[in-house]
Amino acid sequence: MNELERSLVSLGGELAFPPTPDLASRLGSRFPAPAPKRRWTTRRALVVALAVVALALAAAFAVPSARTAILRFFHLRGVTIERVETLPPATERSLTADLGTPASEALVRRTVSFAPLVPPSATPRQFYLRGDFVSTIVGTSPPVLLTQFRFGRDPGIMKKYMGPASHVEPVLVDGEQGFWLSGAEHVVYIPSLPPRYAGNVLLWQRGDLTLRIEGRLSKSQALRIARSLR
Amino acid sequence: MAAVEGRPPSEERELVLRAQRGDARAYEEIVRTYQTIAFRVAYLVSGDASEAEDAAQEAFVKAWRALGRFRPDAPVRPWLLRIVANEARNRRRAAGRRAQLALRAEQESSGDAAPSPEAALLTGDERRRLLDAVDGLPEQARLVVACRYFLGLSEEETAAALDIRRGTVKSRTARALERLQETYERA
Repeated sequence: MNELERSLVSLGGELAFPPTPDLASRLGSRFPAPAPKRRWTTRRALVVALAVVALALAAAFAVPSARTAILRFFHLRGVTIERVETLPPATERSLTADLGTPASEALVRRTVSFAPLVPPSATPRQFYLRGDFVSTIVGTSPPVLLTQFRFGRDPGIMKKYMGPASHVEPVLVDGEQGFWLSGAEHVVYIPSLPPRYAGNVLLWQRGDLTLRIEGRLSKSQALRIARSLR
Repeated sequence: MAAVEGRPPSEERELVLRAQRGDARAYEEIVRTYQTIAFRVAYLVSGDASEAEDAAQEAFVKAWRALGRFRPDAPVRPWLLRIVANEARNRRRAAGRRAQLALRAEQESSGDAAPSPEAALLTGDERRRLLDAVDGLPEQARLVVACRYFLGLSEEETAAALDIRRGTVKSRTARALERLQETYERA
């Protein structure tokens, strides 16, 4: 090893890497032990068939050439996700733009007839009302926008357009269906507002609510916030 | 060269065999052993801490699913690093980002403690110049240098992580060092 190589090794020892997350503890629940071998039953056949369908869907999500066909339309309750070759025109706006009228939690409960979910540490709780949508800025670092609404009769109250460089991944949040949208920006349409670009988004449903978290955050961070909501 | 994370081969083989039989705790031990190097490789490749966290996490899940096809007598680390780096690369491409080094040297201690022998090799100014020189390398050369010297990966592990042949690691390393020498001496 020459002097330059020794200097590089020395430099490597002094570099400030971000702290390593404790993946082992976090992932523990995702490594279920395989089920004991048993006879092939109708129920087992059904489970396997469903798993094959899920795997095929997951594979299709992962292969760009198949995205357009499968994700032409996709629905999560109250939200339509559409895969398009070219994104429609939209504007860049901040997370806090056009959130609606500031409202207290009591006013929100009276107006939309549900108790909005928030992270346990989110105080003071400042909400914004726009039609059926309740929004709040969650003061994590970086701050993220949490929006929620109760599913009504309109199956596509919010629309999202994803370009080829965006990634959609099905996720489960506390056992309920959701999607993690990441990669390149997508365009979001909310009734009565001009379309805007959106960054990473976690969309999921809980009970009769549909929830959405948007911001500069990773999937892990988004899932942590989602699972903390009370 | 940085110390290599890992376990004695016999102990690691036992953990792999247990994990292959479905022992989730054994696999957790494997993850715990390699999570730091996996996260750092993902960070070097993706250039973003959040992406690196997601990539490493997803890679460990994929590795768990693929464990049945792994030969228990083979070293775990290069196999894991290949999966991790591949996941990080795919995410970076999906995001349309160029890989950047995104690293800075830690601030020098303000206390009275004597610097470590390694730290004493370089002054603050030298560290900055050398890091800038590495940062200025083409992406392929930069990643080889970072894997080999900053993370202390072997040639085999670097080849696995960057999905290139071992001979390519050697040639890229040699060219990168030549270029670094010229740049560093000029600066």
